[in-house]
Amino acid sequence: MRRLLICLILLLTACGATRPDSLVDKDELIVAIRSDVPLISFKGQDGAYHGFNIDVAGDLVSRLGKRIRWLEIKAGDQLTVLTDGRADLVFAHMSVTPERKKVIDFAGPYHVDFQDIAVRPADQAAIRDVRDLEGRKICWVRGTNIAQRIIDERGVEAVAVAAPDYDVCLEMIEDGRIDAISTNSQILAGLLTKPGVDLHLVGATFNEQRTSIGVRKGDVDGCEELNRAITQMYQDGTAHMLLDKWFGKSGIDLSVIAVPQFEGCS
Amino acid sequence: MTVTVTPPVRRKVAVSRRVRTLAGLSVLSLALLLTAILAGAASTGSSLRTIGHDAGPQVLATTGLYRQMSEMDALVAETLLLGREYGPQQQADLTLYDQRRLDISESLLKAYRLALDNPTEQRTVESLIEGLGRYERLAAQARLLDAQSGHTAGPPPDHVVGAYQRATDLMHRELLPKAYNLTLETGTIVRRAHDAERSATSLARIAVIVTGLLALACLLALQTYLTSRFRRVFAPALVLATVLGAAGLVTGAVLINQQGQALEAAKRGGFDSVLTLTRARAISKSMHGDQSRYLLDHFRRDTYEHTFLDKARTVAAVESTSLPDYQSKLRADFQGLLGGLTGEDRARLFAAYQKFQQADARMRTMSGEAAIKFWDGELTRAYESYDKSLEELVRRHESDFERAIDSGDGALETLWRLIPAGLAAGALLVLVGVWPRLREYR
Repeated sequence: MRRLLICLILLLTACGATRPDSLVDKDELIVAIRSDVPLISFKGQDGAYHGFNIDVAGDLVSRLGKRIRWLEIKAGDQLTVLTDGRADLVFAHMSVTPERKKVIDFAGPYHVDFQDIAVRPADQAAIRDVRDLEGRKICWVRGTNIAQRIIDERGVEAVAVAAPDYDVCLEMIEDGRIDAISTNSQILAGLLTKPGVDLHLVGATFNEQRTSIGVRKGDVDGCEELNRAITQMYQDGTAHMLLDKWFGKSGIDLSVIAVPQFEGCS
Repeated sequence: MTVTVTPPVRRKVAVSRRVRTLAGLSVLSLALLLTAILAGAASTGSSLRTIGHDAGPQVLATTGLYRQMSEMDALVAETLLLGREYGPQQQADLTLYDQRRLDISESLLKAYRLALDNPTEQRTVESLIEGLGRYERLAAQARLLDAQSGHTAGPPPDHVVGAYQRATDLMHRELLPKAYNLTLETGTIVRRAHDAERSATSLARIAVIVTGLLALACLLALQTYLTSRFRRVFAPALVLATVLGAAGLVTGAVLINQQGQALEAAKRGGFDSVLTLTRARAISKSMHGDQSRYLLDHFRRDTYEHTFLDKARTVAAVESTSLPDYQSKLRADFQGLLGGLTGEDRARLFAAYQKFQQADARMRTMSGEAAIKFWDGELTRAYESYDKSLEELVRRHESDFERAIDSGDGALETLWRLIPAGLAAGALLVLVGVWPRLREYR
């Protein structure tokens, strides 16, 4: 009889072990963002955050019926902020890579972007394609994988010059320490809107950049809910409206706006 | 000397009431046990129905959609690349193209049926139907321009490539992502139904054990009481009832457990595996398409090489920086969609996949006519043999899935037939056992 009772207790406790923590159980989500990327996520004069990522995050989280608390992060913190449990979601223009997938999961992508190149107007004729970067100096913002994608993946022997952020890249291209800045076309479009910046966008769309939302590893429910919300955002035209609002005048090709192929949640 | 004796009538009433209460409780707890078992059987039964007979097979049907659509696009690229001296082969490609279109319509209808209470997914299916119409128009245009140009084998003239680019862009940037997401979403529906029913089943298992133990305790109490009151060693009917109760408890728990295991086996070993393998197969088909597009469209060679690498890493991931690097580092300990395979399956599939990648590496060192000949011959053969071993694996997991569902169905049938009869007999025996005792007090 006692043995049976023990079995019973064991069974009951086994039943109590429910699914892992999910963002769907919370009323307020901590959303990690950058505050220094023009057009994408930046702090306005009014002290509030603005930009494409901010609007997308606002739209998706409200579709889940939750409130947002913003958390400003630096470029290198996108992963740790999730693994430490300081944030529930990361909207930092992150693309999916196998290395990142080992520590976090990805919902989305919510947008598929391409990599582009910005050069000084004087180099406009010389640099028209990623292959023309051979032997030239390009900016490498620490924590990003963009420079590697040109050098290793494409086999273009460019020279990566390290910088802490894109503002430093802008200074370096201005005074001739580097020849080109290459990153997501959306980020480049934002940089070009800064006062005093006179650069030319090459329009060499290569390397798909699948801009995704970082979620905690194992949160399958939260990830699936976000994917549903992204599908709806594209179906009801909100995505179109937001892309047009922020990048309509930037020269980025917005002729095809369609829901991206999701990464999958498990 | 004074002796206090309880008035015999009052004592008689108390005993008969106690016997009646205990007997009633025993019958009641047997009834509760039966209810718990039937509720458990009903919940696992509905889970088995969802996975085995309703949503599961439909999801598996929609996974074909992505592969059929990328095959359609690959066939268009192939006909454009082949040129006029390959007339009969072009014709065969067109027949296959029409066949795929038919398959796609069927898959879309199934997906629509599955999405009946999910408006978001329904809208995706609708937009796929609309988009496929647009795709057909663009592909027909490219084929017409190609036929008019009358070129020999090799890349067609630029305006044909331009027309094909519009078609393939539509396919790759709008339609295929939607088809892929559709499969993910239908998979979500099944996963959630399964999770909900699994917790219901584990609850039912606990209920069976609790009510079963309660029934046994009541029966034992009744037995003990009768033994001490009436100085009989045991009442045979009650012993039999206890045995039947215990048997009901054990078989009920075992069968519900067995059914749960069948469900898990169907979900994990069958359904999930088929889903993953079919996805890998679909992406591999699209890789083969990227190879012909690489040859067809010299404007976008880099892009098609890159998408090929991206897809290769999804199917079998190894850490690498570029396509040549990937192909040289490819080892049997890869991760990715096929990373879950083990043992001989893994070895056999890996060998076929590696041959396919090696052939690809060779094709990329060739140029012009030679590359197209190699692609049409050895490379396509390597792809087909890899695809075939994937298909065999899918088939095997499909039959595992069906077998698991059948064994679950079998357990369910036993549950419904034998246990209610046994427990009803137990209840009857309780009454038979206490009847003579109660009569003594009349």
